[in-house]
Amino acid sequence: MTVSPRLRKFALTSHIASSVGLLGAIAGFLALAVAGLTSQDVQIVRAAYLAMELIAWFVVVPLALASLLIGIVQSLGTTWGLFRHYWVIAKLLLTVFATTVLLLQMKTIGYIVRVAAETTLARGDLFEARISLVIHAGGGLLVSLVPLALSVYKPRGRLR
Amino acid sequence: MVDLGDGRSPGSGANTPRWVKVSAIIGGVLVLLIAIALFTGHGPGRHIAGGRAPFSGVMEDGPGGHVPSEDGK
Repeated sequence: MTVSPRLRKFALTSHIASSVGLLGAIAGFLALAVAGLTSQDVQIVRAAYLAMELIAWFVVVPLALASLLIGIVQSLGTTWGLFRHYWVIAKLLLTVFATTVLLLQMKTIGYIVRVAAETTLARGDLFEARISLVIHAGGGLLVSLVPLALSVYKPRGRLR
Repeated sequence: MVDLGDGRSPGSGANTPRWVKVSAIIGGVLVLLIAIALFTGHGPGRHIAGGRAPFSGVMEDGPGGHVPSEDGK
């Protein structure tokens, strides 16, 4: 499938914007998760979890899906293809994996937010779930950096 | 997926590169660990105790609030 240079550049710009924007959003989410876990101030804890749900639903999830979909469309419209080079396949697998884990985590996020909105969370309350958010956000940030590096370095090797 | 316009032509190679083999081994081990974690009850949602919060937080339904009783009310 061949696309015009103008459309190709638009897709590339959109893909970079969504992917890099996703990194920033996850970093902000991680900061809030750490604040929610470690802060002694109950107002900060509550505010952090309420903000996390908003950021997750309205920034992180849309950017993750946009990055995945635009990346797939873009790969099919260029010479790189979707299943032609190992680095493209690696990016696809990592993005699908990270997006799946993110969507599975949304239930836990909603649960913590619901409890945080209705009660005053003490330091040890829902500790495992809250530390799980920090670990998943940190892991998500690291995993999201790999596709970025793959896009820049484009390591050799092709499937066909 | 992303062509950053560095002018490089797509790489070629008949054999599977070492970075692919190493990544595949690491990925395989991670998938195995995740599968083990899922089958031993460490999957997503395990922190959610049937909709009832396993916490000691104070309910804020009025001045002073109250500590939730056993039935969660």
